[in-house]
Amino acid sequence: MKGLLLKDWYELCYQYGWFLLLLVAAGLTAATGLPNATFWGCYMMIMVAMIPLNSMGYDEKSGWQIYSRCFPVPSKQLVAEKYLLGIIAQFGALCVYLLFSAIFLLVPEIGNSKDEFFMILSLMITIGFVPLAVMMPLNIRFGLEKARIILILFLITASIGMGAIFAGVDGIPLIRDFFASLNPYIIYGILPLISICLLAVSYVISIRVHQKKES
Amino acid sequence: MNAIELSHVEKSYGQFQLKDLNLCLPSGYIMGLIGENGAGKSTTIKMILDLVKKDQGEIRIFGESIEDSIVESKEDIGIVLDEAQFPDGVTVDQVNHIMKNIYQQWDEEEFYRLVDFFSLPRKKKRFKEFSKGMQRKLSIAVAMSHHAKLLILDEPTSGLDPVVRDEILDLFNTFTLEEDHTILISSHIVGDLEKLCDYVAFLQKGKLLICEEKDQLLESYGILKCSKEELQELDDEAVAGIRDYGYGVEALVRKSRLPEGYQTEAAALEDIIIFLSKKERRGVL
Repeated sequence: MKGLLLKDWYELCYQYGWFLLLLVAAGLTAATGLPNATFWGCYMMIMVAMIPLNSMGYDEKSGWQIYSRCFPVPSKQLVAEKYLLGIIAQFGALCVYLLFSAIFLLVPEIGNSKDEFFMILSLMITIGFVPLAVMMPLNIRFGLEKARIILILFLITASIGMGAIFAGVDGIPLIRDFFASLNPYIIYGILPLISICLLAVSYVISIRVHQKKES
Repeated sequence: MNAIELSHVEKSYGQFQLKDLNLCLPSGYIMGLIGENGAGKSTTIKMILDLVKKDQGEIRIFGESIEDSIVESKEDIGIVLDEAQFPDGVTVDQVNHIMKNIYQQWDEEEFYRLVDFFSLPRKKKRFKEFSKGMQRKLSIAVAMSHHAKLLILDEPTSGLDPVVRDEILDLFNTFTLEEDHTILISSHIVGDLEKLCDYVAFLQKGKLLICEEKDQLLESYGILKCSKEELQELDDEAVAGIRDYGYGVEALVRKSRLPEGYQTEAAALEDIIIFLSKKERRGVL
């Protein structure tokens, strides 16, 4: 596992040197409390979620994907390493946000309010883990390019579906009242939990897909 | 003990089929896997490594079925695949660090000995800056640096110049000086395999046409130069392949089936493979 992580680390340093700067800038902006802070927080996490996915794309292109299956390493560990890489990257990005939020606590008139802080944190975890959970099994099964196309089609279909559902919510008092009565702190707590569960399910699916996949 | 054993292995990919593959490579020997492009060499190797699932049959490595123990067995298998293996951005030193954490028996000293032997740069160049030959050399150095007992090499010498090829063949020969060291090697360069191998397996369109000891194979065939009329007199079973020159024919013949009095020249492995591949039989002439 350590060897696989090392390989990804070397590859990331080579391919993603510029990314650290972007990460710091996005983390800083997310913690400032400016009107677009939420966007920057979520943007940062989506970018970070792309790290293991792009790494799999590089593996596919370089031949490492097939070569790594020749190592004395079970499928489970090959898959787990990519998930671990994703989690470490997400954790790193969250730390950048938390670090700047902590610094801004000491600076008057800058930084998020308590509500905003938790909302952004919750959304960052959710937005970071959900694409990872959805894309990892697709990536393993179809490869990076095909998986992206499938994801885009899925997002378009889901957006149309969600739009159709929520367009009618105002006319249905039961649903409208349900959403109105929800405590935002509960939502901030539930969303990351759901995304973590989704990631766990995705991991199990990915292992099965990887075991069945032929090179 | 057999290092590799395939019994009645079959695999279908749409129109391509590997049919009833039976192959046995005893420990301590070198087997050359020969065949045209698309004959099934790489698929066979991938099935042995469990990268491709067989449809039927049984594959054993070091006497154990691959379903039971392939992951553990891979610690003892050095592998060179027919395509690039490493990420673009890594250097030789980084490959050493990666492999040190993958193979339990990684031998850093041996790795750098081979790196120096192949004159590969340790830090200055990244993998993508390597020539194809250098990439091959690095793959070979890795395959031979974790005390593997079995080397599985898919076209390891392709893209290398004759001098380097010769050096690498010597390296493989030295590897098999150890009693339990075995090599399965596929290559288009039949001359290399003739120098190196103890056994030859010849695949054509998914069928294993030959799988026997090289010396026995070379001994059993001969080249007969004669007229078409003289050839017509021979038993069908004696003639394995024919090359028509217009003024006469050259035939690959099974010496054991040839009547007394016929003089044959020694057949090189390349001759045998070419004659058998062309499938020009006596009746077609």
